[in-house]
Amino acid sequence: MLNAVPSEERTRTATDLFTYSGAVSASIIAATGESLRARLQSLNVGSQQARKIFSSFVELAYNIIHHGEPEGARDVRIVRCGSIALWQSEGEYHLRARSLISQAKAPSLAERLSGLRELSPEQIRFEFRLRLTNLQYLSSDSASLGAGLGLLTIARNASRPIEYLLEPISQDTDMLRLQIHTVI
Amino acid sequence: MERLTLSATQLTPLVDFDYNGRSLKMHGESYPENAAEFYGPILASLRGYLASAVRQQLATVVELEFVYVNSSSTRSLQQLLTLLDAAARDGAIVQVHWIVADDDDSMTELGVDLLADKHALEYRIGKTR
Repeated sequence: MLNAVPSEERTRTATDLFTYSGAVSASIIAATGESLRARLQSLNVGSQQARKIFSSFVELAYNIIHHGEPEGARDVRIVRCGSIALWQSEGEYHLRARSLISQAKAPSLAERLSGLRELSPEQIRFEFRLRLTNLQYLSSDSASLGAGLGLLTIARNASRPIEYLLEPISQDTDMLRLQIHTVI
Repeated sequence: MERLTLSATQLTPLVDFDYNGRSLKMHGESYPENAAEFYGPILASLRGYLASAVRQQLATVVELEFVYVNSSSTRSLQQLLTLLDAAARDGAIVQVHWIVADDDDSMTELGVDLLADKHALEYRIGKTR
């Protein structure tokens, strides 16, 4: 069974700020990203926080694309779907991304996510810089390497450890439901 | 060597590598779907220029001013700066200006992450003059 941490329940004082649900592609990320920036500006969110929110949003969205396709998919035009919600609660901003992930990809992702939870902010920054240094010696540009830096970026932007949830859907499919929750 | 220019798009930066003028600039956003695909030709072009730059006495000035860089673009910028640093180690004079807005701590931090281990090139992180 995969190790998972249930995400915290939303408080009653939460204010929904932004939600996207549907197909995820680079151009959709660009368009929704722009909407999100405009929304944050209209809400007068501080520029530092707004940048972190935008940064985590983009990383979460690209994760949906990179983790979304089932292993050995023959149809390369499979549309990745997911949702990302932003809400505010007690002065903090919450981002929650939901998507599907294949059984094959789940264990390594779960391992990365649970490992990140153990790190202090200083350790997260150290891991980020270490990964950056290691990358110059690698010839392949596999998506999994990118995801490492992506999750580290989300962790750097966050005010507390990332929470995640991985749960099976049914016995008819080998896809799992993935939920990532981060607070900025 | 022919100037390399790419217009900025919603997801990619303006690229203006004026090789004859030894002035290389990148400004804007960087979060394309496939950073390796976008930066690949840019790095190949830069390699060509740097091969001759190592023999020159004049400085190559690199101006990088980003509004946002996603994680996979960060990998590509690491490759770009590593190339520049290698050329500097081989004798080229390379000056990198990592330009940040006043209150952009994230971009300043990214500049440090990318440049602090580049010991041969010269660099400066800060606002535009």
